[in-house]
Amino acid sequence: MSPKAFDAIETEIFWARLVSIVDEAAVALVRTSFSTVVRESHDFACVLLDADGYSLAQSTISIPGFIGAMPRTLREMLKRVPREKLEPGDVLITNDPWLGTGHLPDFTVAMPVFRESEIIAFTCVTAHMSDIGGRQWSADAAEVHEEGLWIPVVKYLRRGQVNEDVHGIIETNVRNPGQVIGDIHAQISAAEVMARKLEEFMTEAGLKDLKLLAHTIHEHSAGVMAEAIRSIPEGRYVGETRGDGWDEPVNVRVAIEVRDGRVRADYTGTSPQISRGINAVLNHTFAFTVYPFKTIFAPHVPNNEGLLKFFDVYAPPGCILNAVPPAAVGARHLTGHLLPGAVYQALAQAIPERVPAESGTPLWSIVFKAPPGEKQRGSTTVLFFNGGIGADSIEDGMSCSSFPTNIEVTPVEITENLAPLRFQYKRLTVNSGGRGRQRGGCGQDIAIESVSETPLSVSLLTDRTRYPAEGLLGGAPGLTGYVRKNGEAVTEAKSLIHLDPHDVLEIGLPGGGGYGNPAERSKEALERDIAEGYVSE
Amino acid sequence: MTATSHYRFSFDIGGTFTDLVLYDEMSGRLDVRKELTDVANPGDPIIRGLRALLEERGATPTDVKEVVCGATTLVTNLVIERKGAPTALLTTRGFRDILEMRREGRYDLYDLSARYPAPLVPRSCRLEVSERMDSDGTVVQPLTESEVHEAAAAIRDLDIGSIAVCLLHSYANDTHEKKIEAILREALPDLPVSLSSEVAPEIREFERLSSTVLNAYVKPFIGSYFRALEDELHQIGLRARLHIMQSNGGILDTQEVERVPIRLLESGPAAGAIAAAKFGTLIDCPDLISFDMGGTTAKTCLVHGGSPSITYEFDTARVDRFVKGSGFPVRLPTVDLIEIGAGGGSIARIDAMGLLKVGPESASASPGPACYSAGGTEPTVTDANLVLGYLNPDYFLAGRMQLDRRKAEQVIQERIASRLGMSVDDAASGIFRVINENMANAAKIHVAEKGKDPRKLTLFAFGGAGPVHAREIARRLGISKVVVPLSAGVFSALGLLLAPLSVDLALTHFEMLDDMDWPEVKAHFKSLEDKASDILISAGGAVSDLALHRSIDVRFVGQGHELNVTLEDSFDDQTGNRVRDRFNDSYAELFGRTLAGVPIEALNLRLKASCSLGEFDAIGATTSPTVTDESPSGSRTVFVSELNCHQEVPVYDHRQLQAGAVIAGPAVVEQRESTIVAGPGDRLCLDELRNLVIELGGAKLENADVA
Repeated sequence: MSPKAFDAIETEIFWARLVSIVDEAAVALVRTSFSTVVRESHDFACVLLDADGYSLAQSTISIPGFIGAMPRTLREMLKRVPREKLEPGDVLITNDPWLGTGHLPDFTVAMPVFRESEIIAFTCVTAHMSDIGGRQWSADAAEVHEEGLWIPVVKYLRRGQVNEDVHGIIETNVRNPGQVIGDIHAQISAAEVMARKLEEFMTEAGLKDLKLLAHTIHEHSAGVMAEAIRSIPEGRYVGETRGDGWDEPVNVRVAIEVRDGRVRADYTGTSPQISRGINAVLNHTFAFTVYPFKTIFAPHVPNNEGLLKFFDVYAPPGCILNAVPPAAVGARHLTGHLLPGAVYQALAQAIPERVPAESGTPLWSIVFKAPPGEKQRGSTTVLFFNGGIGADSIEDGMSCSSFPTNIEVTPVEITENLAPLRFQYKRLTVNSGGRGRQRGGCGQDIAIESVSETPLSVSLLTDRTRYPAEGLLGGAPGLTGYVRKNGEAVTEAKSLIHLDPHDVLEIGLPGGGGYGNPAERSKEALERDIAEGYVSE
Repeated sequence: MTATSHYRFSFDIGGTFTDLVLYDEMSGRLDVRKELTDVANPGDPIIRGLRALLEERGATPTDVKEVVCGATTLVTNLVIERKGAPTALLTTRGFRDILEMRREGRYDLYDLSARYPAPLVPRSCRLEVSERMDSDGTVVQPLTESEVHEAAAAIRDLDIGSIAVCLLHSYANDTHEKKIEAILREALPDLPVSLSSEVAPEIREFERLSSTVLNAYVKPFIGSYFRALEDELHQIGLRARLHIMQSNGGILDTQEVERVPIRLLESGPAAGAIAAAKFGTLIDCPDLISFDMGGTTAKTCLVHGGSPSITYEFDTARVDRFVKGSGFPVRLPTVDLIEIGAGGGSIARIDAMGLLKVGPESASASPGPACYSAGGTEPTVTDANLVLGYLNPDYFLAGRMQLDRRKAEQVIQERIASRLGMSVDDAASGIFRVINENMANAAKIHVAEKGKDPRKLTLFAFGGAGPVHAREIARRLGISKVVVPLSAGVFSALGLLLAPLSVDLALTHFEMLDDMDWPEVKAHFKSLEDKASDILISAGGAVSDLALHRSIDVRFVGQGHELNVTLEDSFDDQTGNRVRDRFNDSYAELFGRTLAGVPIEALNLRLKASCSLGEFDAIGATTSPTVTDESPSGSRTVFVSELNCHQEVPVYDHRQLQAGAVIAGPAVVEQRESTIVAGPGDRLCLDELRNLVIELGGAKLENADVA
């Protein structure tokens, strides 16, 4: 086919088809995965990349932690296994946190797609495994080696044949090898679905390669983002936020420089990495830095490299946002989820009308583990909770909603059926949303009683118990969260604690920050808040 | 009713039109009529239309033996427009905010302005009472009755029209909810009470709560609406009972519908899928995709083994109509359809990236497409179809509406062609291709989610626009056979007459499969069966015709979603093993493989009870044709996708064609309310029911259009 440009109709149809291809692969993955986080929380991404490793289409449902990570992973993989060493039927795999998404449970598989002995594309799938060996999920590992099995970039399939050595290593090191191996094969199936559908599409469309189509998609997307960036006045904007950290708080400082149509986010000045599992790798930092830009500027443009080409994200090596091995990274999201708030805060100096205040992030997770031998259904129970979202220039923040990630919670009735736990209440926290012209979303109070006959060990993965979600443009901060046991404050809210029978764990999720001067809040909104009991006075 | 009462009458109250169908059981004749919907007096157009239809046949209202109402959008609109009753909610102390907190997810990951609809019960009307059940139904804390009295007093002070009650674990033990109901009835006798243990007695508090609140919210209105309608019909001498279509694809009487009105939510599109399934069975195509494309949306439903697929979770009153999860969840069995923002009225535009987008915005019925000459200024799919020659400007809606081709060309030229630097024909064909692509991509995902291969299915197309686009959708899905029924434009209304009386009941029985007490399960089913047969008999069903289908929701321990597995009529010591085998089979079919050694647990028991109100054998027979001629009734120039150019093709009138007739494509076949477009290499023939069957020609099926 002669490289004539695609018209507006062809581009629309071809692009929609590529998105449909990755979405079909996502369906295949969800259908065949054993991992509940893949199925229920969409903790995965299917990505189609061009021959140079630039993403063309990403599955519509995938969480923000995976934005922009895959192309980096693939390009790093190709540095280690050069493309001339790749043959049809080969599949590369790794769960290296520094090459991939930032923690060990995520495996990435990459498959080259050949056409007339040339690589014309790569199909890649990242997904969260149900287990990766190592210790119980918590934030307090000292180094990554405690957190599980670490597989470098290797060929899992060679010309379609399973590499038995790698297979054996994985099988030996995880708790439920059947499910984990099954999940890896589910990823490979999804990559194959993408490859097959892509080949069918190219044959029908008469395309020999994807160069022109990739160029067209990237240019169209880049056009949207370029125009958006032009709408930000040039300058250097600094945002800061603070998380609880461990012994010391985590200070996040981002300088966003908008210049010559490019955006550079520099995290110099952010806290150094620590010997606990809340360190983030640069890919994770990148994902949660560009996510806020996408929410503001291109929420409905399908993800692809064209949207990301104007962004440079830098954090000095050894920083908690660019941790170096063997840093523990298992609870990286406790730090990563703080980043959108810092980015919005910086941008508020340039485009205040378009950004929300900080949210009562991160996602909180509480892991209850019954001792071995306990005859209970579900010996490990992971519960998720969400605080309030920050307000913006138009609306109050949503109460108790997952942000920036998107994890739904397990119903109380299901939990009580499966685990020796009884909820005493789960209610909105009055006065927890930061006041402002628009009010931050409310956090929540939860009390859970252990009705187990034996003690439970409980890991707490929480934050913002000391430092609140800040308000914006005069808006007040949201209320901080808390963890209490039998009415007594648990001072280290990321630690491992024990619950004896009938002990009560009380937790409070932080509220979102307010937006604008509280004195400017409309009388009706204020009266409604009081009448409905979101605010006490 | 007398021996001469052999008419069945159905009507479907849509937002714009009320469709009416009168079917004569004796002759097999089907008469159809459209009246403008009257929101203030919904009975008026029905009575007007019915009188006109009966008059044509020289019949009277007493000759009608059955009346079925499809209230497509009634309940949903009530919720969307927030016109239901002010509702109060009673919950277990500490849990009233679950209604607002939902499951804590967001339905759009990137759009920060995406908000759920505000809860139907504001926080100030959500009251709490002290009580607590355990997950197995054991009382942990008895109900503090004085608090119920206090709540009743508080409700009296609020301006409330309906009450919802939803306590934790009430699916396992409903005594506290029942006690509350008794107290409220005495204290507030005028207010209807909806109990979660009656509306949706299933585990998962938010979904049960949401279902119960929706039910309470619409209950007062729906009850009086149907009672008034039934009265009006009886006043003109109609003696048949009024039955109403539910979202599960069955019908029920007004009393039962009034008790649990959310059974009507999203019931509109169900009728079309039911009819497609029934026709598919008759013509030996039990596995098909039902494709219904109208003015605003297209709906597809996977039919397998003659039954439409059913889902137990859906959401209604969505903020974003085409985004799953953006509304209020409902736990009720519902025909599982996907709705796509693609219809004749879908608007074409150039987006910020300079690309051609079509839908989901629609010009709807008013102002409608530009070619309607009713003030529409945006180019729509119907305008494109007219330019491409697929629609006959002089025979739209059987000639009742004149289409202006010049206006269509003009608006496509101005809004699309000139901006993209292409001809009007290319722009029109672009609109046609993009909308087809949208529908095909959505259908592909829907079929893939069910673990099916579309290439093995038939596409059954209806709705005003369905037959125009069916062949192109089929090509994109790799489907080689398309079926279009004779009255494609009013096929959904016909579906109302094909639906059985049916009721679905459920209860939660959360237990490990290995530990199941089957005699207890049997006793549970017995109580459900007694309840179901009471409901069906009082709705006019005969106990001898009662068909029962028992099933159980099971899942692997630790997974979030369950599969519904059929149970046999009798229970024995092998029942558990059979459930396990069936679960593993359907798991493997759906997910490609199954898990060995992972324990299985059961959640809900489900009973579907149904009985037919009489067979409907003659659905194929219609008004007897006058001419038996296979020659075309004319010809016109249409755009042929494969050749990318216009070509003169023969035009046929579907109603003039006889069973067995064979036509070679390309061709256009016209109906009163729709048009079928067939391409080169296609073979068209009429089956014994006079459905038009198109066998697609050409080797390149899938993706054929993208080149």
